Amino acid sequence: MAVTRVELERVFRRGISLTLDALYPSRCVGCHRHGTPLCDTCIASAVPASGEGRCANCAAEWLEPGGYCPRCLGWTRLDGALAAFEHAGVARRSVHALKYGRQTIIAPVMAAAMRDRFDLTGFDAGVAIPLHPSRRKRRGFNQADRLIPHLSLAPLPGQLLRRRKTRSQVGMSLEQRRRNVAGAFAYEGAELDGLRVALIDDVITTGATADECAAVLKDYGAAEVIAVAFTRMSYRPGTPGIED
Amino acid sequence: MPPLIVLGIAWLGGIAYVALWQAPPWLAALTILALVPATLTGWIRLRWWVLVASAGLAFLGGWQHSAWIDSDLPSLASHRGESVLFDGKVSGLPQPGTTVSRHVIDVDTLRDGDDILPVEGKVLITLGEYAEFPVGTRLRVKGDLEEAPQFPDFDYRGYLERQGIVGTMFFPEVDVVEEGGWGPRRLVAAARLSLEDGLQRALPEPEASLASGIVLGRDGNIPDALYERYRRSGLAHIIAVSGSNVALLTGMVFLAFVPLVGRNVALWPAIGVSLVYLVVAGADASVLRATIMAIIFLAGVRLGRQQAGIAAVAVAAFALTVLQPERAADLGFQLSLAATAGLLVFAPWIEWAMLRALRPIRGAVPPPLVQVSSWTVAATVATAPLLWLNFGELSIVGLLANLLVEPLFAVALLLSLLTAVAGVAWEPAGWAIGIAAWYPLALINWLATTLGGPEWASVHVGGATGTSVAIAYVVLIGAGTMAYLWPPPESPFLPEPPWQAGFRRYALAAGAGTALVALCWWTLLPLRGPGVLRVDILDVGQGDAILVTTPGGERVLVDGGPSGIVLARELGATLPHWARSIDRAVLTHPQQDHLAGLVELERRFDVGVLVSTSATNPTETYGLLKSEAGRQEQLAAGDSFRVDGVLFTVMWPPPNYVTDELNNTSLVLAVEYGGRRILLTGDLQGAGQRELLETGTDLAADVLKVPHHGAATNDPSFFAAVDADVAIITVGEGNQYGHPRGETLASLEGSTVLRTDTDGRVTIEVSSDGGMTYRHAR
Repeated sequence: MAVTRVELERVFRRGISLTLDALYPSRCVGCHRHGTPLCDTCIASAVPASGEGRCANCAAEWLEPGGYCPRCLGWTRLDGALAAFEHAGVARRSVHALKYGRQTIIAPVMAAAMRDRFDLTGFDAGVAIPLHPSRRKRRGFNQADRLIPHLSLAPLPGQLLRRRKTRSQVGMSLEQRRRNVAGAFAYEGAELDGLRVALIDDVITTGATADECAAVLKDYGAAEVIAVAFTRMSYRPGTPGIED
Repeated sequence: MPPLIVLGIAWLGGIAYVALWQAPPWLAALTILALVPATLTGWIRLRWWVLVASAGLAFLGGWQHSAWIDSDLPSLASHRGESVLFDGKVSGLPQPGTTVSRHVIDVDTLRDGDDILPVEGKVLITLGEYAEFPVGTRLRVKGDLEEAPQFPDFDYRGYLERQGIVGTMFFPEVDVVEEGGWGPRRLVAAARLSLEDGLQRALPEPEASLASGIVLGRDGNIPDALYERYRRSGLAHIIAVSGSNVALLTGMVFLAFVPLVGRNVALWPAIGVSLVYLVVAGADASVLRATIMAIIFLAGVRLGRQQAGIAAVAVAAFALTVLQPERAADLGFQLSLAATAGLLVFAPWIEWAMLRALRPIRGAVPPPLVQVSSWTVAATVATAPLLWLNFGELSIVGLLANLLVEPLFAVALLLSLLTAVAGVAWEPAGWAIGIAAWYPLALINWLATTLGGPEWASVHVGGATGTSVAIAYVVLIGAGTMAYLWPPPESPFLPEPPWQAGFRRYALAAGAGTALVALCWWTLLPLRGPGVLRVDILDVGQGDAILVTTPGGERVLVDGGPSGIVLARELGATLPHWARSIDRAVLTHPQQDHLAGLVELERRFDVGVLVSTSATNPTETYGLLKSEAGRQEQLAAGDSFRVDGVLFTVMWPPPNYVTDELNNTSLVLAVEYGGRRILLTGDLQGAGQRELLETGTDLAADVLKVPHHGAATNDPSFFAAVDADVAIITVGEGNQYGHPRGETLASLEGSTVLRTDTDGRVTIEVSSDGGMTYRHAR
């Protein structure tokens, strides 16, 4: 019985991954159970960011029934947002584990949870919100880059770039964030005539960054740009400093 | 529960069964197998095969350990109690003693007349302080091979035998058979020695020894009394190289490189530094363990994996004991393992509890301090049973001492390491960093001395047996498993308002800054010299060493005493901590109890000029001093020199004086300032004293260093001619010569007699107007 190289390679890969799992046992960020970085029970317990009580446009929580959502009023170029969960509890912990804990191993699980919660087939292309190269180098990776391969989205026919270094937006209000990211992005590559583009990130806070990216993409002809994230933070409008 | 952790515990458990109860290796395995039904019913949430594999591993661990216990001593052991001649290679750096050095020789050939017999085993030989053979040198050694002594509270023989050392030898005849080439082992040894040298040239004692212990694990020069204080205050682990060094160093390098080259690249210099340090620090079991863990940790960062840490502990423990079963019996390894595992599982809960308890005063305690404290508490708890078993003693002040010292330790390690490296590269840089490194080192020494001082600092707790300690660890492992499986909820700490943080930060910075400036000012103050003539008759045991400091801070040392390290300690206690130079060193006459310390002085200090007489002595130490000293001058009666307003006049011996008795060639020196005179006389004996009297020299002095340690060879007429108010006898406690002799003490009646054996170091101060005071250390 001949063993093919493909089979050998599979056995080898399985061996490596078993060794790594043994050396670096995964624990659920929510309930600390072993075996997975984020377990199904904890995902099921997270607050969904869609349906009843959430803004259909930006996935944030309604403050009062009826009326307009005050959070996405200022989005002039972004056409909406999709998020799997409210940015709280286990969902927030997952975002932190990926971004600050650098547990890239959690990214596929987060991406799967996103895929389970909304239909991404309507998008013609997806692109991760870029980090400035210096920030990316320092962190070692871009968290959005880790999500996008697992979302089955076609790549953009060009590159979205972060040209200008921006300050960390933790603790900034919407207005501050807007000023912070103005003109920070650029696009290089073929025109995007009529494309529906998904802008991928781990968390949408005010949407200022995504809105700025949307402006650039629309300059190149994108028909619709929607932010797609793992969590949506339903901050209180008018908050002077927003955490995260 | 991750399988690796279970497997690791099983492996160590298997070893423990054999080590503690001499159980057959299968017993531990059987104990584990008895738990298999519990996994099938789900009572223990583990896969059954994990337990079966654990049982196998427990068996292997026990079997390997019992095989090691039953293994025979190396063949050389059968020659204990015999006078032997053997060939072997030097297998490590010498371990320093006060007037000796100890070398481990890896013996391969035994010679009996013309018979050549291949043997195995190591011997610990004791030689003179300055005996030095590079690692790998082939020696022919002749002497009595003795069995190592046993102490009531320490199994010294077993300790040596675990290292393969089967016997000891005192002052054997040693010949170099072959120099040996520059292999990697010799390179590493040379690097370690030169780093130690860098520390010794930059720092005073005992701080240099502490630094050398912290950085290199070379702690042989720490005074016994100080070491005892460290032990009693629960700080002994600070002195030895431990895993925390590796963690600190790797962490600091990693964080320093992240902004420069990014996280993915920064792990390489961090791994590189941890490997270099592993080699430099002597590849101790605890350092190896920490290095393995650091590499697993850094690789985990790169792989984007969660860091359990405890799985890495299991891997490291297994890897180290499977390669060298004797490590399992090494206390350092056991402590390091217990501390690390305890820290990983208990610290999060302890931190949580501390933060909870501190809630009413939140904002007053910086969270990183709480974190470090939680580590300390966890490690203290986890190591307590082992310390109890091995020392029958528990430190009461240990927790407090560690809480205070741990933050200082990080600073001390970093600065000491920089001092050593800079000292090797460019000495002035080492000296400059050494001034900064002295502060944390001295503070740690002070804390250990102060906290380890009181009677109640540490209490004897009897009743520790292998079984009771094993029970303690079973309880700890049980609690640890709970703490690990159910980590604490997120911190109960609410973020404090920013203004409060800002204000506190400024207040803290201002307070710390003021304290630091005050401390530095206070300790650097003698910068311009004492303003008076100061003469310190140092307490170097049976021998002479006298430090003369002029009002402007110039330093003249008359003789060096019988031991380099003792002189270094005494100078460390008298000189300002930044002083690393001696303007003039004087050798009164070339005998061991006056010159031995000067060799070390030349090595540790910048000595301007070495002054001596024309007398020589064909000993090794004298040859070493002459070859290592820089500028040298010979003086005779009639010569004088002036240092900073202090006049030094040589009264004896006359030029080209010849005698059979070296003592009578002693340089007699009168030190004059402010109208006062201090007479330093070396070992001049009666005959010499009478000859000196005959020259008609005016010998009258206010202070006399009594010649020759108060031996019976003194002439009363000499004392009468000097007619000193204060007479000082330099003499070692319980010396074999019976110094000082009764007749000498009798003829000194009328003078105030001070003795270094009972009064300690004697300090005399003379002001410019002739005011004179003296004090003594004891």
